[in-house]
Amino acid sequence: MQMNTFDLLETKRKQVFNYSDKIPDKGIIEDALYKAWKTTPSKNNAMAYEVVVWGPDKKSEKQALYNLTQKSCIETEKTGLKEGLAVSVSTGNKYFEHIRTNPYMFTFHQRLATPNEYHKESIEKKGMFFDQAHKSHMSKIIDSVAVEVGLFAQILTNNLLEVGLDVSYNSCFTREIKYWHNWGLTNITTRPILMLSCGYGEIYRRNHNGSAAHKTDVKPEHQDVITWV
Amino acid sequence: MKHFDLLEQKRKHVKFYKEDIPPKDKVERALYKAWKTSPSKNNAMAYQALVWGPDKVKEKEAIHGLVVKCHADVEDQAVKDGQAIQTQGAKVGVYENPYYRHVKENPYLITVHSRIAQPNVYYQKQVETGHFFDQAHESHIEKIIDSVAVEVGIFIANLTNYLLEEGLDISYNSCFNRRPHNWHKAGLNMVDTRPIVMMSCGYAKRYRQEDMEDWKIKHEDIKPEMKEIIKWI
Repeated sequence: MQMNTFDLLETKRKQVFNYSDKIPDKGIIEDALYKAWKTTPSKNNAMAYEVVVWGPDKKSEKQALYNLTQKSCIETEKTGLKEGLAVSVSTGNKYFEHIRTNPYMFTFHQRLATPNEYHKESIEKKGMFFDQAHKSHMSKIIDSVAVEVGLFAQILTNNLLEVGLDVSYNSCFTREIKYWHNWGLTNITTRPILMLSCGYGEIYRRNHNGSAAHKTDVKPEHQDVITWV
Repeated sequence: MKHFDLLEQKRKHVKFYKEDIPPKDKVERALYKAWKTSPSKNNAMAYQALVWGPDKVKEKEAIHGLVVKCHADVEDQAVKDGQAIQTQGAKVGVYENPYYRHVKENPYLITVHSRIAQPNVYYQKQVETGHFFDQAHESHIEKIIDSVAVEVGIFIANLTNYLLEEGLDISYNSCFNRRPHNWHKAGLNMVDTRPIVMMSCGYAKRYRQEDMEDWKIKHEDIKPEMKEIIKWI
């Protein structure tokens, strides 16, 4: 029986501590990606982002992504300390393990888009401005593109959960591509936005953390996030 | 219905809504589910959703006015920067993109904004051992905007599913001024942090794709090929 979205997310989506060695079939991943591409809407049909897929053979690249993430975490803490907003610096985060133990990693990056036939005509005949095509506008529209990446990532998540896979997100990494290049990830040429790992979870964060800690790590109350004007 | 089928069959951009107002509990239930199932870095949820109900007619007109003005300002700037040769002449009451109509004529509008978050008990302890909880600092709102915007996208993707499952239609808008003081100038004083996205909902009377079909140009307004978006390396 098909599970509705709420039950799917409530019962299946759990942050992974680390993945098992079992590798999902590539066809399952391709199908989930196709469905996400097909159903994710985008302003002006631009899709001003791209999804880079790092498969099971990209072990050293994933180790580099892991190193980059740990370094970013510590650098952010150093900045917080320097600004007087933090009290010390940690030695890193143990919950980044999923970044290097997964069979599939998706990293999302900005992309210069090209208008389709409909929008080309709007530009030429009506004066429409297609900001997603201009390098100078990439940072100006980052929030709008990042919202779309969130849409894509959630739709991809649902597609992967439906076929029994686990996913985990990471948002702690430097957005400056020169640092990605420093770690040997020279195929990255535009601003990174999100990392999403996927596979079969072996240990989940909630189990690794212990039940007592899990109880105190809760989200803000509903009324803090939803306000009826 | 499978998630893919739900989106393929039900999610269509609305040109304008019917006057029928969906029961408030349908919207409340969808919002609750979206809050409950949307994950967030450090459980911060550094955003808030403002819900503008059926009685907020003037406010929605003001928001629509902001959208039209933003459209005009972006095009004016592009001409000044030499990146466009003309504008569409957007101006409230003169030329308004018809596909923004859903922003002012809807039973429910949800605008999502940045929010200063507080660490929960678990993260309060982590902060003591060196964790930097950047979501709690006003000075970091712009620095983390892309990370928060991704989470907002996740939240509205979930909200979309729940509203579609309730039989409602939705539409998004990303063309508006991001500075709260411009919202204040339009009389929207209750907005005190950076807007990130807006989403309308109700029962659709006409979809944008019906226009495209009538004009026989649906095949022209298509998304980029999959190979342009998904790169296996």
